[in-house]
Amino acid sequence: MSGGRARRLIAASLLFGAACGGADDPPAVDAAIAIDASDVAGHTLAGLVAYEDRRQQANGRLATTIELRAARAISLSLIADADGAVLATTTTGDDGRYTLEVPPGAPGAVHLLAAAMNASVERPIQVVRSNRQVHGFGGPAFARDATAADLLITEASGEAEAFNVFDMAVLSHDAVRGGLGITPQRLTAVWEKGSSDGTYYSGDRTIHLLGSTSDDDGYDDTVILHEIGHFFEHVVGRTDSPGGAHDGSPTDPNLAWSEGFATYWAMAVKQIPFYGDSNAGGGWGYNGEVTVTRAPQPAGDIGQDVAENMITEILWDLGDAPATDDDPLAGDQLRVEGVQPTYLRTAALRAGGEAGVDLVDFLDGFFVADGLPHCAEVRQIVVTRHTFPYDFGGPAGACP
Amino acid sequence: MRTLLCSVAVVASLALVANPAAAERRHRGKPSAPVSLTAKAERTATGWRVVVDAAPTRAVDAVTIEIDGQATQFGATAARDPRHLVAPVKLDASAGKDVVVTARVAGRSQSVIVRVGAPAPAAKPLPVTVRQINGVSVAEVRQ
Repeated sequence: MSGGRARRLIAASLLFGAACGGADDPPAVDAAIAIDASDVAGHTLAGLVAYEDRRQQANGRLATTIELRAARAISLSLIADADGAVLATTTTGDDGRYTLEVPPGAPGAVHLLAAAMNASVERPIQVVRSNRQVHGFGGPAFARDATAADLLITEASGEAEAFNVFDMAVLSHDAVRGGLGITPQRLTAVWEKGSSDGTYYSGDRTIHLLGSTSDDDGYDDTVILHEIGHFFEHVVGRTDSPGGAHDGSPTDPNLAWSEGFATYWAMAVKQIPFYGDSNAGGGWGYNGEVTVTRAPQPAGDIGQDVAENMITEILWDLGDAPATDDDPLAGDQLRVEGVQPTYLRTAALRAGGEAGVDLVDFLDGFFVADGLPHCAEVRQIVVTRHTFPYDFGGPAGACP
Repeated sequence: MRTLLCSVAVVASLALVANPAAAERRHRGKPSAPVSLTAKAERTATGWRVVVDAAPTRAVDAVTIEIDGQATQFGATAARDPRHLVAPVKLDASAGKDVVVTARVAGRSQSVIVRVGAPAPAAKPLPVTVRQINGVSVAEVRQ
């Protein structure tokens, strides 16, 4: 049956029913579509979705004032209040704006449901509760025939931080896709108000974030991106970190490399040399540009224990550019980030120093990708400034 | 041979159960402060007090302990040498309070919260409605 004929039959049936039907008549067989003159016609609903955010301060504390940010790339659905039916679903744009095609149907109250998830190839992300249900926020009810409705995901609901976590994942995925030309892999973030599960990357494309009263990482952009940095090195690059605690002290080179890179990733994605972590007592902040952390043994072995901060600072200096720079290398963060997929992921690492990926292997890969025109600048950053005794003896050849 | 393999597997499984830290070691956590911080509330003859121990994991130039916003600074401290601090907390007889305790060491900090006095009232969680959106379970909180 053609669509036109079906519509004509439905219209005829509805007319017949309206004109001839009585209160005692049995229900019409196959009367699937119940439409009457009072139904709301199909139309477009448009608006803006935003979430409440708290900005990180230089000392690691969160701002006392709330800012509104566009809730970009999230799932947005229109829900019928009467029966909970999902009437339409879309994805918000990068500016938080959306349009939804509302189907015709009975009038009544509806509301918007924002969900911290995206199933696209470009941004495959979910932010979930401890029970793995995706975080959602439902707005106030409005009439189904409305053509405009905005939605504000409030802090008071306990859900705003979930959408901030989602936004950091979008930022990182966009850096991977747009900067490195790599299709991002699916990332799950577990955060829940009150959770004391810890903040860590569990190695299964899942990051876990604290939500406890004494330490809540939901607004700590750089902490979120640090853990996503571990996800990046796992799925795009390589890590041989044994894991475990790291408090800034010189430690195992594989652990120091992994943690230093993860903090660098947070800085590179945010494009600011800052890492901060808030807690109930305020928090702490770290500037990777102005802080100088040195290797403990300038004349020692290249496999010596080093601090994660030294790694972060070297990577930032290799990647930053003259506008805000305090080193002689006009860097490019993409060149630094790119060593993970182009070298560390696949290369046979040379013997010497610590087995497994560490700063030495990164520098080897940096020269393989960059060639040897910047030996002097790299020497100034790595050896002179941070006193790390890199031997410039990698597979790219010896520096002049 | 099969018995031997089975025994090895059982021992390995028991080791994992007995030592959850083995699994935890594989986790990549966030940067932490080089300090081990413990705090507890104790009742005294006249009220309550908070007892804090903060031991740096390496030798540091200074240790600062904050209890309920009041900071006390200690000088150079050796690794694993705990700095001990006790602070009285004034409370009405039936009252309770969350006291924030923070240790600042080597540019980083760690906080814990100690409940003093009456237990905190149970927080009433916001109601959640679970909906299926494109086959995914979404926990909706409405406001």
